[in-house]
Amino acid sequence: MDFIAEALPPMLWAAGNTVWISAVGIALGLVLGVPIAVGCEARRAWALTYVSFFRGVPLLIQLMLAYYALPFLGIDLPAWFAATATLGLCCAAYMAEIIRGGFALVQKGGLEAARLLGLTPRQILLRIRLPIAIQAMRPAVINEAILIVKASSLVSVVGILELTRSSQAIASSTFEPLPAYALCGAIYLAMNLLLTLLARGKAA
Amino acid sequence: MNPVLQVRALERRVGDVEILRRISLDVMPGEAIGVIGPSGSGKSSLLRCIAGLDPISGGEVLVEGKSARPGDGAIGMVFQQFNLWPHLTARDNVALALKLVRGMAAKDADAKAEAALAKVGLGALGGRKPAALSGGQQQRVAIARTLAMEPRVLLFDEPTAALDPELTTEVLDVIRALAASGVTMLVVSHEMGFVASLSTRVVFLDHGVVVQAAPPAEVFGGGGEPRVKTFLKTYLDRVAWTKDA
Repeated sequence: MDFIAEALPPMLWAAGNTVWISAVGIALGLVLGVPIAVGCEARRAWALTYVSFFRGVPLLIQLMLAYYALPFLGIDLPAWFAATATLGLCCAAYMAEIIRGGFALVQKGGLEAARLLGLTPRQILLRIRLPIAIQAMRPAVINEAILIVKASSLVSVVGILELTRSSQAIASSTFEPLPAYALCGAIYLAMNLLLTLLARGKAA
Repeated sequence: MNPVLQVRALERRVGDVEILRRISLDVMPGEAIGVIGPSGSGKSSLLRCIAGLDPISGGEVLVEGKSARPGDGAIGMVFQQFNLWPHLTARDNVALALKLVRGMAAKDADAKAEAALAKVGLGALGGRKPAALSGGQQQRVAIARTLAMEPRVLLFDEPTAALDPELTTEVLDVIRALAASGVTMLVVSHEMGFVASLSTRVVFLDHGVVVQAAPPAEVFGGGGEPRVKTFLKTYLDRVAWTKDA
């Protein structure tokens, strides 16, 4: 109990960082994922290259490139910016593939009807294709969001104190790794359950 | 009086296959043209080419003398599979294009959508999503959606082919009422009795060619071309068999 009373406040504070970094990453991923999905569908080289790169290179390496390699090109990013941007760009590659899969499930006839009624391609995308696709791809999007929350632990390599990093620090300062990591796991579990409930609640 | 719709030497080829071969057709205001023919004869392709959904290889389609293109509001189409948008209610299915394309205020668009739904006998069901409607009701929503945009010509592509016989009647009644009110239309259908009673003219297609275009009394009354007679005999034999059974 003493351990929890001592360890919980700093871990919850660090979990706050995990939450906002993940939230920005997921939001960025969803927004960027739409044009990339459209690009992939049209077999555009830029979109296919984008997805290949961000899915093919480990997120850890991407983070290091953004934070440690870009300064050599004269681009010096603050740690939080490098972390959220990289997480978002990586998430977008996966989201794009999920959205593309959702698009494939939208009946062609509904799109033809929209075209004949005079809707523009942009209106068809935003008002017909995307909303119908979202219904179909919700489980996959929740999955990806949960993966991002967990992958956000990697941003500690650029010096951000998030949940995993803080539990490591507590484990090494208290010499009690087991309760520290158990608590860390419990907080991740709680966050992801909440995320799932929120996503499902929104669906209803 | 000038024709509303002019189809001139319309051709569609896919690779080496000629789907439509130099089809020409003038449709006068208020006419209801029934398009019949065996499967694969090009009936649906003809409608899709007129609507601009399939590319044409030659010829032209004019609505009121002007070249038509999809989305310009001149041509409306009702599909075999209804093609409603499943995430929107019946009312929103009808109102969406009124808002986005016609720029109507939400309140006005909703009111017009309700009126269009009432016209097809669905006044009370505007709040339901397509999944909560029967096939016949879905098709009537699709008709209301097209009707609300007030197209010059309405195309029906086998509007009852996906419906069971009981639901077919309610859709055919709506189309009949529209024809009676003077809506210019082309109807592709395998419901011969319906085509005979609805149409001002019947077009028989086979292998992408218009074999006969004549008033229904002529086509169905034994005055048809030999190919048409064979087709109708097969159809009537099947109906007779159904009656005997």
